[in-house]
Amino acid sequence: MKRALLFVLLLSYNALWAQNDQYSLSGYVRDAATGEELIGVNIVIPSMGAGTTTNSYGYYSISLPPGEYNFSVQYIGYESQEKSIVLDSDTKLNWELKENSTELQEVVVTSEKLDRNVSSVEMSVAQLDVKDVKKMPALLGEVDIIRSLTLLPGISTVGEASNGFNVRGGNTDQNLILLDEAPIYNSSHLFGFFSIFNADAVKDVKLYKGGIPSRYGGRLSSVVDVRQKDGNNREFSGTGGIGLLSSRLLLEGPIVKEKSAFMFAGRRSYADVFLFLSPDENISENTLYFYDFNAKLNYILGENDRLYLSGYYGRDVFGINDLFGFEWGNATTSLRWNHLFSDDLFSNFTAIFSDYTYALGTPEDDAFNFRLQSTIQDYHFKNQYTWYANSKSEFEFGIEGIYYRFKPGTITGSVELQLQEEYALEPSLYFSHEYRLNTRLTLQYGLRYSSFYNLGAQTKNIYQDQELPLEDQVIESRTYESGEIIKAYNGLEGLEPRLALNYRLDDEKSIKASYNRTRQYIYLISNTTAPTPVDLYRPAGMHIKPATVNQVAAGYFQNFLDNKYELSVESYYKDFQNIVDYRNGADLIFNETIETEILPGIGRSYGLEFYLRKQQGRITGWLSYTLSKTELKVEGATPDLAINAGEWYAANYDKRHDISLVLNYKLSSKWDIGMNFTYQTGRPITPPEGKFQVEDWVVPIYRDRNSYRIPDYHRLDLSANYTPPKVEGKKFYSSWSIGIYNVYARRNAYSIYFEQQDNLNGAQTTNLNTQAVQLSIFGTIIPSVTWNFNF
Amino acid sequence: MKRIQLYILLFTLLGLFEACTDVVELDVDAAEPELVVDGFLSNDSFSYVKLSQTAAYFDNADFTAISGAKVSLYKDGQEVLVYTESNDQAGFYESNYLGDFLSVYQLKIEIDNGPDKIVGTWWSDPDTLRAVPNIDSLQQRRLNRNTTPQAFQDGEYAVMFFGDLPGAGDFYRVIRSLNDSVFAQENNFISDEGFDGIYFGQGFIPPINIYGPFEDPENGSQPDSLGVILQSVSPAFFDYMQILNSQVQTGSPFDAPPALVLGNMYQENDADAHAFGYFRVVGSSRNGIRYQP
Repeated sequence: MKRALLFVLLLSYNALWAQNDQYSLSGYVRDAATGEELIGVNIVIPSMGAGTTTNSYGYYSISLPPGEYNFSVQYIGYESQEKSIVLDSDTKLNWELKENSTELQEVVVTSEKLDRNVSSVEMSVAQLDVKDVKKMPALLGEVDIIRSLTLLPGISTVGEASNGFNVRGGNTDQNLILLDEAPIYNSSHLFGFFSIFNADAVKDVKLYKGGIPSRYGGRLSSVVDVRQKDGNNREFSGTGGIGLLSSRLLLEGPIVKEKSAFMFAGRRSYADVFLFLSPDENISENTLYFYDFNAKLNYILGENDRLYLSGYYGRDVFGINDLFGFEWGNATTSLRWNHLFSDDLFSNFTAIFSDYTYALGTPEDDAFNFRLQSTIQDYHFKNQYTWYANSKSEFEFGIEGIYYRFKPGTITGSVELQLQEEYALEPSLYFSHEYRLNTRLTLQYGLRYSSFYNLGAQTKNIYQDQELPLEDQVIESRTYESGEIIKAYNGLEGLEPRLALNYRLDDEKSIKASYNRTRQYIYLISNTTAPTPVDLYRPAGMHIKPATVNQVAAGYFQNFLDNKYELSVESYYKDFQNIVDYRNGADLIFNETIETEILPGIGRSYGLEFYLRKQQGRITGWLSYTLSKTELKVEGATPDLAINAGEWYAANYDKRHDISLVLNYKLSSKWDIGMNFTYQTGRPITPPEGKFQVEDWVVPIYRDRNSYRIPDYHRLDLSANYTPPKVEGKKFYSSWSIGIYNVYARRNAYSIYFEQQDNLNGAQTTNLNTQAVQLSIFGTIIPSVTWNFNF
Repeated sequence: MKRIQLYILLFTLLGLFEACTDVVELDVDAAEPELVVDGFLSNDSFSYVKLSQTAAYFDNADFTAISGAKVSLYKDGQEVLVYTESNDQAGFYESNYLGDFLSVYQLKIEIDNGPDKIVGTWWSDPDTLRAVPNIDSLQQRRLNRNTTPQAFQDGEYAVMFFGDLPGAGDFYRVIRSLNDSVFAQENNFISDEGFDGIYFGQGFIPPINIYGPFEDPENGSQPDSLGVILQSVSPAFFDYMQILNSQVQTGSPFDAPPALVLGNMYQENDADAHAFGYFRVVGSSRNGIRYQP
């Protein structure tokens, strides 16, 4: 430990010393047409092999000794720029990049190579260009960012229309999904059919599967960082589309030209509008739709200050006749202030409010009406700093505080009941240092320290055995005052070291390795294979411990054929502690003593990921393959509580093989064709090893958890996009997207369930025969057509 | 089952495609046969114990009965009867014995012949025959959605009046029959959690809507008659039935994970060796009503 600390101090000292007699070049990189700041743009000095990239706000800074340098700025999909600059003082330089207008060209006009995947110390990162996502075939023509991410290695879902996604053997609640830094607690619309992200409003998406930077914390398995568009600060414009399922419209424009801008986007599905046409009353009198709004304002206060205010509001509404209603959705607000203390010290202050609520109940005018509502709310404050010390060193440090408010259940109406609210505080601080030791070796090391306080006011049960809380063994009810600490997790176990290493074999090849420990203090209380909208997060506390994971990963990265192709092969191993499972028959909804239903467990996941991407030329796309295994173990305090007799069993989302091929072919200047093919090993299920009869019930006997697999999944989708050339002087232009989902109409198994045959509620005779039934969601071809427009 | 139906409804509501189902057969190995006990004792009707074997899931032949066992009932630690195996139905052991309230009962089963996992002596957990409230009345009422949310259709319904016994932790099971034919696979339980001591049908608490709407009799036939049995059951049996109900159909992503449904029967001297099924001891009251068109 002492040696490690000494090494860190030496590196930091080296970085500090190296900054003497240096000047900085700094500024923003923007889209020339819209003024939108661009994220992740490479600014390189080819002669030195040095460089930097723009941060999430489009800002960059690099410090160098005095001299003349030739800078090159490169970004996929944009024309590169080069400039020679004499650096004899701190210099501000903003770059404006033009989108590539001739995508047909075989060789992109760059004099330098876009080799960030090889040169960057980052690994285990999945990134998609939203423009590429829009060209991919999509279910019902709905461009879906989350679904597209699952075509990348290491990311999967339990089924094609399931809430959430799984990353490297992690459960769906282990993903930190951020929209303009605000956490999103449910990323799906319509029970998982579509994601909540309106692709028109999204500027950038990045998913960290491993090597997670120390600025992120709070979830075990991944971080999905989604950034909304800032808004066009040069001219008023709009984007929209009309599809089979929904329509959308985005408006953006300057409030004060070049100084402030707005972006407002809305989307609504309208399947329900046509439901009333159905002759079947069971369908015509139902309701089902979703809508969402994205909004953002940004204001340039001066040379060194910018303000961003962004928000999201989405709801799904589902009603069965006029008997029962159900709605759920997220709402977020983020206020961010960027401040440059100096050209090489960038800071960001963020205040966030996030809310996820679901409600269900009967109409208010019913004689005995009720409404059950559950909510999680959090209030964040963050203060982050990036110090661009010199061309070799970059430091990040900051603090973060999250105050949670959990409202597990409130019933109003004819009967009024309320479960106790829960409160928690999660403060953390972190730093990281990226240091280029020489032209070959780059090191990034960091440390995050997080703690967690479960707070009153609340009355908690004290059980005979606090490690094994049983409902009938309550010895005392203890009341805690408002703000009083019920349970604190603030020891050394809250240290989360992060380490990443890049060794460049040559200009085109590198090997990388990373280690990260992450910790999670809130859990999604859900004992179904795929989470449902009525699942809600609850905090760690007196009886539920925080979960941790240690992950090591190593990989080989290569670009070849003049950077047309990008290859990576990564392997990883994850070791999970204190993950949550549930007792058999656990009652999770409206349960105040949830600790009596929970069982702690451990997990392990390991895998190999292969990724080959072609990013230039007429044909672009990628091939990804993941070989992985994820297992869980719940021994239980007593044999009755063990799952699978305390032996390892496959996780519900364990899929041994997962292959995706995504291609786009630019047929002409007007037409391009897209194709997705995906193949996955069927997910595990538990088959009954027998059955028995009690009264008129035939009950399956389940012993070996997840010992069988549903048939393998495969599917081909096609799309064709028609984009007429823009007419000079005409602002309005439109395009068409035609898609076919599930081209060869495969009836992929979504699940297999086991049941007694033909027994309906109210029947007076019983059929004791049993059967297995395979449910396929899409048993046929699903065509789609969408008209998109811009003005 | 409800979850699957909800999901299929959801797909249909999207109005664009239909979810499809296929009956499939899985290639899974069947386990060795084990003992299944389905036993019942109450204060007001004959007691029975049905012994059978577990079967392979995809084998839809009748369950194999277990004959020749000695099945005895213990009351407060003393043997009070040995059940007689029915001549008409193999594996069905019966007695006219009626249980006494607040007595503790236990079942003992001795099996000498059969598969390895079945032979042996088995005991049930001791269980108390609990007090049960009377069903004070069943009444016919005209209901609709404006008066009662569960009354989906306007019509004549049967409503039940009864009061929960004082003291928290009571669980009641409701068994309904129409024209003496019991409704199949009903899992109707009432818990007094949060409602201890209330009377259904008094003040602002409505009576329980138990059946309806009645259908008018066809020409010349008798109007329907409804029978209701209210059973006071143990919390353990309530839990057992909730787990059983969650496991009768499993496998959809929105279902609870599959679990072994274990009841209250154990092998002598080995509490970890369970038999399947349950010996339930219930306090019981009953009432009935004939529809008046």
